[in-house]
This record gives sequence, structure tokens and C-alpha cells, in this order.
Amino acid sequence: MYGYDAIDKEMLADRVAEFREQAERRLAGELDEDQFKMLRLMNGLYLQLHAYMLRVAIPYGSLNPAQLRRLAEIARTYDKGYGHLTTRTNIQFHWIKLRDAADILERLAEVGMHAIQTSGNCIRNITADPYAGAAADEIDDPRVWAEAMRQWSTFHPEFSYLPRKFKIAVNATPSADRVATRVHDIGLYLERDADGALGFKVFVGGGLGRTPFVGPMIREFLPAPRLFSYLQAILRVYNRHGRRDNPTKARIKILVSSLGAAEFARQVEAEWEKIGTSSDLPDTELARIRGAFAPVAFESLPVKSIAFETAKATNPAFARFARNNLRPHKKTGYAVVEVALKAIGETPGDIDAAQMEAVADIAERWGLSDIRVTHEQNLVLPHVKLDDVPAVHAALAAAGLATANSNLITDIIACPGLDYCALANARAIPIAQAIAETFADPDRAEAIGELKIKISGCINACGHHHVGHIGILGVDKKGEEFYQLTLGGSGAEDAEVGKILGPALPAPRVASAIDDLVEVYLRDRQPGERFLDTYRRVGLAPFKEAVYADAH
Amino acid sequence: MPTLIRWVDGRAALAEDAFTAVADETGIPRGDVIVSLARFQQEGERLLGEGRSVGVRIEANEAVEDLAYDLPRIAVVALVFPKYRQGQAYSSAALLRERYGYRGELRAVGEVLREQARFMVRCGFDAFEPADGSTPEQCHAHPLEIIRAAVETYGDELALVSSFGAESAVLLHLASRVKPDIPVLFLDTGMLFGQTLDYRQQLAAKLGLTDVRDLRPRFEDLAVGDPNADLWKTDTDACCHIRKVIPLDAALGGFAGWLTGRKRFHGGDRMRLPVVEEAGGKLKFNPLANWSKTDLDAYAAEHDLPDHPLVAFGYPSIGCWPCTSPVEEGGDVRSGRWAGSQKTECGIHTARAPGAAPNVGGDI
Repeated sequence: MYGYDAIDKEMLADRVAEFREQAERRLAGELDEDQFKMLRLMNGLYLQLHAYMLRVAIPYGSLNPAQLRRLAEIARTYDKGYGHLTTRTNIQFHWIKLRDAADILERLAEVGMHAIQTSGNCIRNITADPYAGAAADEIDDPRVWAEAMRQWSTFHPEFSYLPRKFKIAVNATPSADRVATRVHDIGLYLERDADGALGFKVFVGGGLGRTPFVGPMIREFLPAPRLFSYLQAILRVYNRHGRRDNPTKARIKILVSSLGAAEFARQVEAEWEKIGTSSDLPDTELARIRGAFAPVAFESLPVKSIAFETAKATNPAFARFARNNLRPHKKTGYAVVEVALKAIGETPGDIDAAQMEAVADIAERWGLSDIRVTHEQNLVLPHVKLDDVPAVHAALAAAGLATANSNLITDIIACPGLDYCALANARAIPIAQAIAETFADPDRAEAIGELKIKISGCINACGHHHVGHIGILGVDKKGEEFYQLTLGGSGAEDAEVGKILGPALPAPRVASAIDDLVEVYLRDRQPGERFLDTYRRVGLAPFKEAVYADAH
Repeated sequence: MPTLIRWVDGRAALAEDAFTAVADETGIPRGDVIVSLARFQQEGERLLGEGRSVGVRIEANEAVEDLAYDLPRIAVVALVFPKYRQGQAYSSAALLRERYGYRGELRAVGEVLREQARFMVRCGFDAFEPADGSTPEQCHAHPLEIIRAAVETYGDELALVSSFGAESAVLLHLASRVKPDIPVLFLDTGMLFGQTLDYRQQLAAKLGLTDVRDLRPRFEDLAVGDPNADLWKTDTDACCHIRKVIPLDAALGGFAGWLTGRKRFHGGDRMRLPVVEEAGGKLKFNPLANWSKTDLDAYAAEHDLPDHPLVAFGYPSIGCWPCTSPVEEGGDVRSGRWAGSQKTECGIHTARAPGAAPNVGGDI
């Protein structure tokens, strides 16, 4: 994994020292909340309903065991013993005291972590395929590009005060989009052209929130060496012409949709031509970064693992885990292991300190010390030998982390909602818990198959509800929490924004409404169809009928 | 009138503002003026014809392209930040400098805050009307940034010259954070205190400096010029020449630039010390030029840097034993060097040719 050099470390140390002084001035009353707000947000420190929240960046979701252990230590020492993984693959601590914030940043800096640009109208954490380096049909390692973009975007002089926040994602395989690329401000698909040259398909202006869009493609093939001049052109057009009069209309998606994708692309291309090649990344620098992601020295292993097959045959819990939480690895004899943070009745994406330490230990012992965070609020151990999967499963089970529901109906994305967030209209976590309990029977969940439920506590859509196969949006109706359901969304390679099912439902009706929807699917599905496929074939009507039948 | 801070040769300084910013509805006063883009487009020819300097104010939503043709005639382009977070002017500045080759003053006006200054400078701004009462001192580059810039420019052709004296630890520590293998040139004159030699070993090990080079006087120079090691009694300049200037010149031959630990607060001729200067065809960086004694002490305390053993005995500046004496509390830091004579510098920092060393880079 990429290691920070002396300059990066120094920058972090300076940043911590600067923030310590600012926090002390605030504690001493020399700064009021308004003056302090801008300074603390630069360091990822938000003020929420009950306490300060610190959002720590996990660049492209990649962690090593030392970093995860440090996060555990911070959770235990400064928070209530846990952290919350986000859809931006960051981690949030929700119970932070201002007087501890600088100490936390200092502890983070020691393991090369920080909270820079996890807030503010700048380029936020760049996400990349969590299976990077492990996926069989990967075009190129997306971490190389995400890391290069991280360096480029950190304290970028021209693009640190954009009209609104800016999110970039890199997808690495043509067969699967695991980063919701097309609902990003800029989405990049790694591609190769007919001659085998590396490049990107560029999507701009996707997004969720109040006005969801699947981003249109503005360039079919951008040669990889020209990435940075092209990004500069996009960002420059946006910085100059994006709206700043209304925060809800300030994201790049509004500029792209009001100009039209073709006109926006024309402006970008015109600017790009003028920029020339001077701001592209030198090959030597790219090679330096690429060196940090050199291919792992995998062992040569047989296709079949006796230990793995034996465990599958003798241990039904393990067999279920193997069915649902393993993904194929590019190297024979290895697997990608999904660690679902979606135990029934727990808060999606929460992980406690002991669990963080357990995952760090497991990764060190059996996972080549590599840990990834997914935008679906789970962890991934990208390189585990099939021979070791039974031991990994046992160790995960001991830590309460062996929930075998990856991609199933109980693998729910939820934002923190009104339990924590000052912006929320409604709670998200209890809804997720109620649904998970409704489908707690693992056999039934498996019979239903892949079904992605995503819950947001308000229209800002941090829970990605627009792209859930079933999306749930919390709304406030005269002081009461109601929930609006959408169907047919997807953030994957078949990206689409979901359609509203009907009037919003009161909280106690939500889980049973989901049950109604699932029953329609089980009744109408054809062999091999996922919930999403059935919905796309039969349309909204039968689902709507099932949920609102009583109302007639 | 708002304060104006100008970046001149990389140094932030308070500046006289010769320009009057003129609102569209007011008449044009005498002298140099800054007018809106619309007004410039109407009245620019006339104003320029009157022999005055003219600046143009560009609002956040206006396009610098509209001014491109006139740029060579414009003295100041003032780019407006209506709110600190409205950042269109960063792009405007980058375009003016990179695409249109504008070389005049680029001034940030509106809600201009200290926290944004570093972004502004990197986009090409060189003048600011701060809205938060910032002073030039608060805009100065940190020594680390200066060292980093020097390392970036010169890489392995950059050396650090240190006496391992009373204040040396701070610069050595700063440099070790940027480049632990930077060549450190140490003048072992043969006349140093034993404590200095111990300190040199101890500090180099503690800071992880891997390339400290001990420069000693050449045997033949000593044999001819100072056979009895008592030249200091009769001619301190000649002694310094043999024991410091010649060895350092020889060692610096392979380098394009060097870092020194000199500071303005040392007083005397050092009061006007620039951060970057040229000496003998090489660039000399003085990263600590702007730092006060308080800054140094705070840094040393923060990083737990050991003092030179003689500091406790009242030596605030330490050279060779025959020419160094303690200073009474409150005395000038360097007054114990060559005390009782006119001499204030050993010669390695004095210009070799007549006249002062040209200040090429100024302050950063």
C-alpha cells in the first residue's frame, strides 16, 4: 500500500499543530462558533445533534492493520467504543469532545491518516473498486489512479473553494461497478482501446441528493496519460460556471443538466485543448506511485482446497458464509472475503473497537495485511487463501463478524439519520434494524437473493436511497417520521435512479411493506431473475398494488 | 483605505497603495485608479491616454477573457472574492498567469482571509487586501516550506552548513524532517570547544542525519600560515580564512546551493538578511531569517532538542574557543564573538567581491 513520504508527514504534522491552536482558541472563547466553523470543517470536524463528529478519510477505502488498530484505539479512548463506516468509505466517530480533537488528529497522523478534505466544497475522498488488485478482469489497478488523484486534489490551489463538494470514483472492471461510479460528480471507468492503450471512459454530473442523476458520458476514451489535464478542464469549467446562488443547485450535475451533456462536453474539450499537456502527470511520478501497488507475491495453489471443501461439507454455517460472502479472486486458490457489518439488529456500518482489532489481526495473519472499506459499509479482505478461509471464518465469527448476508436483503445501507445527524428528518437506523429482523431467517434471505436496500434519513441521500433496488427516504410530515419508498434504482453498472412507489408510509408500516414487495417478487419472478430484474420486467404496478391494497 | 500586502520577490510586505478603487457611480479622481470591467471597456482608452496607471476590477462572475487583449496595458487586475468560499477568482488568476501571460499585479480583493493566502499565491496572486487584518508576518513562509522549496529545486546539490553551535539544533532538525541525508558541512577548525565536538556527534545521531561531513583546515595552509596555532592572537581574519573560508569554499564546490541558520534577530549586518541570496555564484537560503529567539526556543522545546552544553554557561553564540566568550544576560547574541574587536563575521558569510551580496530571491 502507498506510504506517505516525508513531505506528506510534515504536512500532516503542521496541519495538526495549526488545528490544535485553533481548537484552543475556541475553547478559550477567543473564537466564536461561526469563526471556528470554517476552521474545524477544514479538519473534518462537524457539530451534530449530541456532540462533535469527526470524519476520518480512508483514501480509496484502503487500510492496513496498524491503521485499523489505531482507529480502534481512538474509538475506545475518545468515543463510545465504536465507529461508523460511510458510503464515501470514510469512518466517522460520533461522540467526540472538542478538547480531544487535536490529540486524535495527532494519533491519526502517526499512522498516515487524517481528516483533510472530508468536508467543505473541495474534492473529497476518492473511491475505487474495493477488489482492486484481486478482481480477475481488472483493466488496471484503480488505486494507482486514485492515489495520484488524491495527491493532485489535496490542497489544490484552484479547486479548494468550488461551488459545492466534489466526488470522484474509479471503477476497474467492465463486468461490475462496485463503486457506484455513475452517481458521482466524475465517474471514471478504466478501459483499454482497440490498440490496448489504457484510458478512461468519463462520466460527469451524476449524483444523488435532492436531484438525482445518472451521470452522462462525456468522453468515450480519454488516454490515461491525459487524465489530469482533462480533470483540470472539467473542474475549471465547473468552478467558473457552476451556480453559487443556491447550495441545492450548486453541484456539477445541475450545470451539466442545464447546459446539456453535449454542450458541457464541448466546453470541457475546448478548455482541455487550451490547457495542453503541461498539467499532466509525468510518467516518472506515475511509475513511483504504481510502485507502491506492485502486484502481491501470491503463492501457486491448487484450484481445489481440501480444507475449504471439508469445512463446507461439514459446517453448514461455513457453507452459508462461503456461498454468500466469498468472491472469485484472480489468483487460483485465493478468494475475496466480504466482512459484512450488517449483523441482524445492529446498526449498519458500525464496528466496535474489539472488532476492528480482530479484523486487523485476521488481515495480518491470513489476509496479506490488506483491508478495504466498501461504499456499502462493509469490509473486505481482498486476498485470503481458500485454505485459510475456514480459519478466517471462525475468527470472524468469534468477533461477531461472520454474518453471511453480503448482497442479501439484510445487507442494508443506512445513513446515521436522526439518531445523530442535525440535517436528518427521520431515523434510518431503527428502520434498517426492523427490516433486518423481518428477514432474519437466513434461508429466506438467501432464497430472495440479491436485493439492495438503501435508507437515507433526509433528501441529502447519504444512504444512497435513489440507487437502492428498494430505496427508503425519511421525510418529516408535520413532526412525524414517514418513509417514501422507491423501486428499481441501481448504483452498479446498470445504474438507474429508482421510481417513487407511492405515498410515504409511517415507520411501523415500512418493514411489512418491504415484505409485501418481496412477496410480489417471489410470486412473479422467472428463473435467474433478481428482484431488480423482475421489477424491470413487470413494472411498478404489481408492487404498488401489493403495498397500497389496504388503502383502497 | 484597506491595507495592502504585496508579495515582492516572494516576500510579503506592507505596501503603499497608489491606486484608488473607483465605484461605477463615482467620478474618476486624479492619479492611478482601479475601475470595473464595464467602465474600463467604455472609458479605458481615455484613462490610459491621460498617462496614469489603470487597474481593472473583475467580479467573480465576469470572464478574464474579456480583458485578454488589453492586459499588456493594465497595471493591476483586482479579482473579487465576494465571499471567501466563492472561488471563481482562483481559476481567473490561473488563466491570467498561465494562459494570457499577465505579468502585472494580480490583487485579491473582497473577503480575503489568511487561510486562503497560500492557495492564492499558488494561483499567481501577488497582492492582497486582507479582510481579517492579517499582517505580512502572518503570511511568511514557514522555514520548512523554504527548506522544502530548496530541496525540491536543488535535490542532492544542496548542502547545509552548520557550526553545531548554540542555535544549530533547530535548522538541523528542520532539515532532517525534509531530507535526513542532506550533506551537512561542519567546520572542525581545530580550535573548537570539546563540548562542540561531543554535541556534533550526539545531535547528528539523535536527528538521524546520515551525511555529516567534518571539514578540516588543509595541512599545508596550517604549516605555512599558522604553524604554531596562534595566528588568532595577531590576525583573526587570516585565522578564519585558513580554518573556515578555504575548507568551506572547497567543500561547497560540488553544490549549487546551501542552507544557513542565520537569523535577523542576531542584529548588526544581519538585520537586513534576506531568505534567499546569491553568494559566489551559489544560492544561499536562510530559512530562519524571519524567526525570533522566541520562535526558536518554542520550536526547540516542542521537539525536545538538546542545548549545546555551553549555553548553560552563558555562551549564546559559539565559535572557536580563543575567540568566543560568554555574554552578559541581555547582551547582543553575537557580542561574545571576537569580543573587543571590530570583527563581527568570520568570513564565510561575507561577500568575496567588493559590495554586498545581491539579494536575488528576497524573502519567501
